[in-house]
Amino acid sequence: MTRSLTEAELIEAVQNLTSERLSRFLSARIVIPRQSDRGLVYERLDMARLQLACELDDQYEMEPDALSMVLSLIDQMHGLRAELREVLRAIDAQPDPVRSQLVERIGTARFRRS
Amino acid sequence: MSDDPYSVLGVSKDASAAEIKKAYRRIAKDCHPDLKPGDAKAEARFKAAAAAYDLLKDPETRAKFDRGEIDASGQERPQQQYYREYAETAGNPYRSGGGFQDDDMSDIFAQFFGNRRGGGFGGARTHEFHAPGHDVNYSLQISFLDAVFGATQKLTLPNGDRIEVKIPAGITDGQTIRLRGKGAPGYGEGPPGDALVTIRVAEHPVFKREGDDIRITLPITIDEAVLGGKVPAPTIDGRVNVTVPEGTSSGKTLRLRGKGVRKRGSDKRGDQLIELSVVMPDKIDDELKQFMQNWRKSHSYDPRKGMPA
Repeated sequence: MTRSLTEAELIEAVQNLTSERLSRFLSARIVIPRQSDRGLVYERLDMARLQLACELDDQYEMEPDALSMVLSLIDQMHGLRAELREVLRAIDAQPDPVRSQLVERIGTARFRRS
Repeated sequence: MSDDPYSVLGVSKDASAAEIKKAYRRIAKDCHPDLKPGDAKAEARFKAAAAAYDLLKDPETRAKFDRGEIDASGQERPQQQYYREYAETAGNPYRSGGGFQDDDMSDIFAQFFGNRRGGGFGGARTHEFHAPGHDVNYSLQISFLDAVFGATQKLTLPNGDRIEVKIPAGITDGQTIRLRGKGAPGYGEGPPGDALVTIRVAEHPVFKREGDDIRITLPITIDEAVLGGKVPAPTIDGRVNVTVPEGTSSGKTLRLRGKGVRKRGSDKRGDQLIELSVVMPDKIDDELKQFMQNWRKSHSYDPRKGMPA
């Protein structure tokens, strides 16, 4: 795993991230740094997350709490995608008859009109 | 990128800055790779729009482009890491949602695995279930000065364990710290979750935080306001003497550089702002009253001139 970043390294690495902006994002729990022997540190994932937060902030000038909510929806979407992928992988590993039955079931449910 | 940035954004050459921003926002909303994961076409469109916007949002570079002094190439943003590359990974700590505190798995599979764990599902094959434990939220109130200078605080967990929370200097109210492995135990052989400790900073009777600056209101006497002079003032480092200029009105603010809170990721500190406030003596005695009555006769002035009647 790649090394985690200190606060100074983080501010350097993320475009348009300033010390003040980071403070506002931290107060809204947009990222949660981890306590370590080197003080609070951030992972690569936090860095990418802050990059996205800065872009959304630049584009839509959002309240930090609104931004935090949007990010949580994005997290939920990614979470569901990952879980769906697992389900599809599991279906793919099934014997042919089971698989075609499942595909038919899901296909019907998806395109059924209420 | 070689396309015309105006046509990339779908605006005319004489579009206003607001129109350009609006067009960019619309494309970003529809095509940002973190909002539309897995859509290569959208990603290409977003990248082109971002480059076009970078060129056109600054009136100076836009004018240079319009005059043909620069072209649209070389405007690619540096290779950036998109959040989606991490967001779907199993280790994403934000995915389980810090908001969920209950004992349920915040997973859509909770029921499925829950049944399975109970041994009821299917029956024939019983796999043991392994998953990381939940994150557990705690709140820790600290004093204003501990937030400014940093401190180490002990937190007692429900199981009696005591953990050390190291508060870094300059922490702000509401910031949360992750203590790995101090959350709920894992399922099966899964690792324990994390403790998420949200810091609440108590207010101080004198000092107020404004970002990295600290603001205080300093009362001064009328003689100090009229004559000026050295006046003692509290700072987070202790008492200092500040110079009040002759003829100071309430609201005048002095700035003490470097007497504020440490800035994040740097050794620099903010400033302390001292707002002066002229305070009358407890009792207006006859001597003062007579002096003012005489003074007024020959020295009238109008601090409200220019205000609407």
